[in-house]
Amino acid sequence: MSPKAVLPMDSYRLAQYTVTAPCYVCGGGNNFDAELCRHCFAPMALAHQASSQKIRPKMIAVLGASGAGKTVYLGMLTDMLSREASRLQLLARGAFSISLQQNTVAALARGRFPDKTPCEPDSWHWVHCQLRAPRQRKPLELIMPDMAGEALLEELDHPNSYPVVRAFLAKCSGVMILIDGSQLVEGVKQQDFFAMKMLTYLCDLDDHPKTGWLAKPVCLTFTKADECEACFENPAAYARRSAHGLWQHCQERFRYHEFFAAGVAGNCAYRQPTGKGRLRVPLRVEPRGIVEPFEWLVEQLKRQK
Amino acid sequence: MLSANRSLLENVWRMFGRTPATPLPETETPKPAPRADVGGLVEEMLDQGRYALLLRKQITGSLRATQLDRARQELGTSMAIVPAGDVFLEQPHLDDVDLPVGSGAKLVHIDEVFLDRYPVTNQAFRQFVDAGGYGQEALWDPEVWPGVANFVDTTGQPAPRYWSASRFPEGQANHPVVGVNWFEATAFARWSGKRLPTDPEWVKAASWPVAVNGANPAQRRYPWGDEMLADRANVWDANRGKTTPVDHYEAGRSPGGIYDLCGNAWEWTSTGFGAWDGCQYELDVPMRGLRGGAFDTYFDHQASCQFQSGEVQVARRHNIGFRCALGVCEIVPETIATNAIRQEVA
Amino acid sequence: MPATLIEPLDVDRTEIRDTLVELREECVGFSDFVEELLDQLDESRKEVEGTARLLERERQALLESQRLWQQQQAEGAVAQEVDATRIVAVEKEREELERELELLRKRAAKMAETLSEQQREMAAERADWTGELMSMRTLLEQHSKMIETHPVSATPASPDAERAGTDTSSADPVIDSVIAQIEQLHRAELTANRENVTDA
Repeated sequence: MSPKAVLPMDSYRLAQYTVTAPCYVCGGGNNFDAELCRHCFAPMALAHQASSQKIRPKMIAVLGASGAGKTVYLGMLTDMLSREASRLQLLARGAFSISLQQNTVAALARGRFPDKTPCEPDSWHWVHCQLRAPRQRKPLELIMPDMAGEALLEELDHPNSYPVVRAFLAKCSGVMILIDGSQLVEGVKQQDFFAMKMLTYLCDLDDHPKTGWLAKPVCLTFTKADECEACFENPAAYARRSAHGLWQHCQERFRYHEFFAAGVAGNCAYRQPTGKGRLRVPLRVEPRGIVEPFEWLVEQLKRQK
Repeated sequence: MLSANRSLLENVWRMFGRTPATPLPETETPKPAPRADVGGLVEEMLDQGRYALLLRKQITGSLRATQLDRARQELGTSMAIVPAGDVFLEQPHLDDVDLPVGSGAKLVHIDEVFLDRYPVTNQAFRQFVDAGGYGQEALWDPEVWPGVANFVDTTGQPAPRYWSASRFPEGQANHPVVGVNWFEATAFARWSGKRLPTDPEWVKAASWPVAVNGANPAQRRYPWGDEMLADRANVWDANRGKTTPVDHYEAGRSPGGIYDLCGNAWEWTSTGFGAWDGCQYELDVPMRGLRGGAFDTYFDHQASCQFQSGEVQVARRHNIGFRCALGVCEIVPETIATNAIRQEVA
Repeated sequence: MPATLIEPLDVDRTEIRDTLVELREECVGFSDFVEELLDQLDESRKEVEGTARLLERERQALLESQRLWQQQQAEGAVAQEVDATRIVAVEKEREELERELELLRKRAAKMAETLSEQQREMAAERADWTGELMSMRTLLEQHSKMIETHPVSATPASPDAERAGTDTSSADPVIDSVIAQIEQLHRAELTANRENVTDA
């Protein structure tokens, strides 16, 4: 007579599928083992981390037109804060949070800018990090995605075309809007029009005077300011001079807003690699004004508590 | 008739081993205090750091032996010799798939040259400003002369960009002068009887190549060796956030006794940008080479000896300075100071 | 017919006859009155017609005078226009002449300035030449003294001197400037020494 074989039954695992895991960004239900939310394509790891560690990360949106420098800014910011111990220190949560930093720094070290962020949300990089400041006991949990500028523009022009954008912005505690300073220098006004559209969109989302966007911090940063030294000397005065519409808009509608200037490349030139179009490359990397806008925003978030 | 008489006089002057007087300057220059004699002029020039002019063949004949000795001593103290030889130049692209390694690289021979031991400091540049250097047309490239009036400081005085009322920021006398463009650097070099180094000269001084039989010379990545060390140079990881005195990083000097080659402030060279790079840059305006990195250089390899950045000639950045060079053949040969330096190197 | 009936009828007939006579007399009076009125009406009509004719004549006269006045106005406006155009043209001419005068004044000033500058340059060059000639004379004197005491050798004293002798010209304006300063100071020293010697 053969001995009875004892086989473990894994069918209990099916029970886990009966309970949907809500996405941290849009709240949509997903399977517990889903990698990305099937509604908004945000990483489900955000929800798992929040629920397992009993934390409620705040969300900061870094917005800007295509080519404004969101990827470079976020990548450099995360790299700089993870290197420096004297000011804010950033600790990434989850391997997915390091991808943006890795790609950006690798590209810059090789003398080029990172590739353009694709429009598909499932290709976007999300950063979930813990921020520690000196003499501060409790760290701040933050989520900052790198969203494609074209997707943002599409959402502005056709609301709900990118549900993840809408869902994310509805839950954001603060926003940083990047404006390409080098284009302003040349007199191109597209950048400040985009910023104004973005701010109007945010106000339409939630214009409650106490809890809405009128009371949330808005940080406006002129990027590529190495091409325009006047930006660094006095960003607010520069905004008033060169982006008066945007400046006026902020003065009238947003209680907590501030202008900054930032640059990553000391100088740029164009290359034409074989088989590719004209490529703008940095001739050296000397970050300037990267941390200051973020520090201001974080201070404002603490004030909101 | 005047020009015919002029050439006749010039011939007569040559007979006596002298040169004719130069024509009157075309522009007003601030007149220094009148010097009583040649000795006073020589002292003044030595105080201004213009010893290189006093060592020119055309001028040494007018100096006393003691004055000549003093000029030679100044040379020995302020400049170091870079021996003649080959140097390999390439632009590091860190495994860029678009470019094969070593593309555009060249082996260049340089003659023996003197290079400033330290970058030009605020104090040294102030001599140039006080002597009215910004107003002397002969010092400036003709194409930029009409624009020199725009090279002003925060108060509108002719001076480096970040100065005020023709004075450098307090406490920064021994910091490298920054906020000067390529033309200002060249004018200062001319005024002091020197010139900007070429790229090969700079790289040879920094990387100290050692000839290897049949192969490219073995060159250091950094003046002290192949590894970036935070206590050797003022770069991003040093966490200074600004320039430091040029003699701060004693351990970062090259074997030839040249300091601050890595970090602190980028240094202008006389070579155009992109000369050693295999890729073709499209430059809207011509750029000159920058070497050495600065206090805010983020990546270590961009502060290495081989890395060349570029900048437009009129840019006056917060992190770009320069140092000067002097060809050995341009001065009176076999100086006492040169012998002393050669012994030190050996 | 009974008399009692005829008597009242006779009375009535007499009354009626009397009334009729009165009425006839009244009618005659009325017809005379009406004729008088008609005559008056005729007279009035004639008067009105005369007045109407007079008014008509006056109206025609007024129209004529109005036409004449309008004609005069039109002629006056044209005359004014012509005057205004002439005034504008004259003023324009005046402005042009003033501009030309200003230009000529400026040119004259510039030429005067250029002339004085050239005069200054010539004076400076003359001074320069004078200084050079004086120092050359001094050198010649020195050399002539040297020739008297030491004969001039055919070959130069040292390769350095030969190099210095043949390579004194410099393309570097800074070096030339320093050399010029040294030369000027040398000259000044020589002059001072000569003066000291003569004083002694």
